[in-house]
Amino acid sequence: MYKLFKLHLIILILLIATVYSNDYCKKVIKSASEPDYPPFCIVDSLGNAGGFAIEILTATLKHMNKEVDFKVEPWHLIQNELKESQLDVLPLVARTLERDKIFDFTAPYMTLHGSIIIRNSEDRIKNVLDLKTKKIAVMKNDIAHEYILKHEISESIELFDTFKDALVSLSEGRNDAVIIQQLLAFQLIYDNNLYNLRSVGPPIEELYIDFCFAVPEGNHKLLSILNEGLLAIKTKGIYSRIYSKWFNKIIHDRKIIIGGDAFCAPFEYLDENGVPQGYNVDITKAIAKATNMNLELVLGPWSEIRQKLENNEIDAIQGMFYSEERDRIVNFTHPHTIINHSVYRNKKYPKLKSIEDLNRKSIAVVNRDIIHDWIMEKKISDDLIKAVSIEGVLSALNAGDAEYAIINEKSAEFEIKKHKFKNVTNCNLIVHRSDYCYSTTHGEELLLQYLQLGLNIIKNNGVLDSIHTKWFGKESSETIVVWKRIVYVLLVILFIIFSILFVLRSFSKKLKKEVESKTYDLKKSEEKYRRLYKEKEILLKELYHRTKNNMQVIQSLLTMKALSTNNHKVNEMFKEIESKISAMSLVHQKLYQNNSLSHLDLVEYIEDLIIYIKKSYNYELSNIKIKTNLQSVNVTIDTAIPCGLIINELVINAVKYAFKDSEDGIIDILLKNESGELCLSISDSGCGIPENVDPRNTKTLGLQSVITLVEHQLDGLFIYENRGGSSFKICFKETNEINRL
Amino acid sequence: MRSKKVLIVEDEAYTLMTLKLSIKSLGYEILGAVSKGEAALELIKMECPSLIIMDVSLKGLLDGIETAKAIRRYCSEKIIFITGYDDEDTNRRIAEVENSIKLEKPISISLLENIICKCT
Repeated sequence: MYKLFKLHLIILILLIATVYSNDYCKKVIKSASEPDYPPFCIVDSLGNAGGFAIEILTATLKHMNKEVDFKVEPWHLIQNELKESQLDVLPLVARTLERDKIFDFTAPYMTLHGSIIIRNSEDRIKNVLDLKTKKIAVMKNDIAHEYILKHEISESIELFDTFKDALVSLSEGRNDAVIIQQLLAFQLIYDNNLYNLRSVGPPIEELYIDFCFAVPEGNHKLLSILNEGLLAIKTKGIYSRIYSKWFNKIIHDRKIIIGGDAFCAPFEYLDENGVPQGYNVDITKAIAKATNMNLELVLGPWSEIRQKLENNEIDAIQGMFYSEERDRIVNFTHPHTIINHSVYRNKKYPKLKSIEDLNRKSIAVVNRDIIHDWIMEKKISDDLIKAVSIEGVLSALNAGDAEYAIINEKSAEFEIKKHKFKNVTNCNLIVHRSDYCYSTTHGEELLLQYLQLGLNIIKNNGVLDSIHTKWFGKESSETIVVWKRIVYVLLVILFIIFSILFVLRSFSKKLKKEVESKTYDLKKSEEKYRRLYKEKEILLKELYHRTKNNMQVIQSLLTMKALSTNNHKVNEMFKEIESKISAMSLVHQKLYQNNSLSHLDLVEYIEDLIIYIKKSYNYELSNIKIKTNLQSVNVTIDTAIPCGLIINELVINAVKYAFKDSEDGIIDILLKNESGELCLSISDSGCGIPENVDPRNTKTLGLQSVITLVEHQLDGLFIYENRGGSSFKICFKETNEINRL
Repeated sequence: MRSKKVLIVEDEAYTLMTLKLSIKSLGYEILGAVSKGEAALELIKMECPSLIIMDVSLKGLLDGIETAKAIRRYCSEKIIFITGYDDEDTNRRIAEVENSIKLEKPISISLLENIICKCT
């Protein structure tokens, strides 16, 4: 039992020892600082480690309830110690791909760009390309050292333990340049009074440094503690306070005067109350807020402001275009905006297509503006009209004092709109695209770095975008240019489409007019023919009517003559003629009463004719019946009249000769329409024609006239049969020759 | 003496009959009495009459003047046109037919008899 208790106790002690021996559970974290990397890592007068990075790491671990102990050693030593896990963490390590293989990194807590430092007297070095044959000083194993090797910047490298030594060496003329993080360089220059040094060229973009905490590879527990602590001190404002303490300490008491052009709206200008306004003014205010700098704005004429900077009356200029020429005199931040400079013209003068067209033209520019420098450098024209402001340039152009002007587009459009310069127009010829930056004189590099830091902050937190949107809308200048081009192309396409549509429309209009004109003519013509037709219809009706009337007159004359004689035979002759005239007259009556002037209903006509014959011969009272069985058919006058005359002749013949006085008789009239062939049959139940008599050769005119009518006039067939009475069959085709009317 | 023959081309039955009776009463022989130009030409091809009485308006494809012009290829005897038309075009067309005269409807039978006698 005792043995078992002893074993348990030993296991417990071993477990506790194991836990306490584990790195990430140690209460005191081992770290180290390099001696001279101000303001990140420094050594105070008591020999203790200090500086921005040291304080950030201490605050981070403290927030996570951990303590940290720092020792001070050169960088190359502490780097190896971390690699071999003799140290737990390093406060200031620039993250690289190579270092990623041996260390684990937290999220970066600061990003800096590299820079070339040269002596003020040096004018042959402008950028990294000029360093190929130069002797470069750099701190051993620093990120800048790796950069020089990787990009083969120079074959002649002198390595130092610290950057201070490297810069001193440069200052004393033993080297040609130092590649170093700008902020560090300015701090070292300031601390060590190395004012014969300056930075040159734009910041080295490839040499950006993400400063992080580094732990030995695989120590994820400590890494997560550090990341969590870093995030916490940033959100709680501890980071900002430490930042302000170290980076503002040089200038925190100083009032920084920032200059700007008073006549460069909408970038920078004085409003009606004399208060600075504009895009650049808002950026400066945002930087001041982000970095806690005490910034004061002074706006004036451009050349005056530049002079003030050169005289050190102001500390920086908030809106200056970068050029190599200017870079010799002042330092620039990264550009915060890219501005297009375009050619404007007085409308009297032709539009220019290329920069070469500007040769020997009178050009208005802002005095000492970037374009002024550029024209002088490129020797574009000698005839320059120099104004103090963009408004002055545009006034000169509007008045015709200058033919052309080159100014930044945004300000030009703003002023043209404001002052309504009617004679001025944009040539849409961009001659210069300029980087718009903050600038300071040499010796104010630290201020420049603060301005750059401020710019980085407002870029990352979206404030810069908001300011841009406030003044220029959502599009960035680059996008606007692209959009302008797209819009231009679209406009050209639209123009072509509209031109085609216009031509088509004109053609279609012409066609429409022609069609309208032809339609009008047709309508006119149709109306004319309709009117003529109507007239003819009226005339024809009138003609039928008159013919019928005339026939009735003839009939009346014959009746009168018939009445004047007592001779029965003569009376009968007159009666026969009258009935023939009536048969014809009835056709004319039917025609003018009818809707159709060319056709009449043969059935209706035959029935009316029978009624007339009955009335004429008073046979409605006699014992002869006339039966009809008629199929409907419409015929022309050429068919109706012969038909009428034939029926009249044969029915009267039957009435007169077929039956004896007291005999009952039936006369059948049949009309059949068999597909256009008409068959008219008139038969009686009378005695018939004697068999020895040939109907074709009778001496009576009646039957002869019937045969003549059938065969000559109707082109038909005449058939006679004696079937217990006379049976006449007449077959013919309706001719429809209405043109003979 | 051989009797003179007359050809009558008329499509109106009663006029045709009247003409036939009148001409017969003058002692002429009727070569033919037809209502179409085409039928008249068929007859002419076989025998040329001494006189032709021709209605201008006929049934069929040919009118009286067209029939007369076709007849002239076979026969040059006198042609008497009888018509109700008195327009310029008809008169001009009739004038183009050689050895022809025109009588306007309605025709007086006695006038026709005189002319026939003079012509033959």
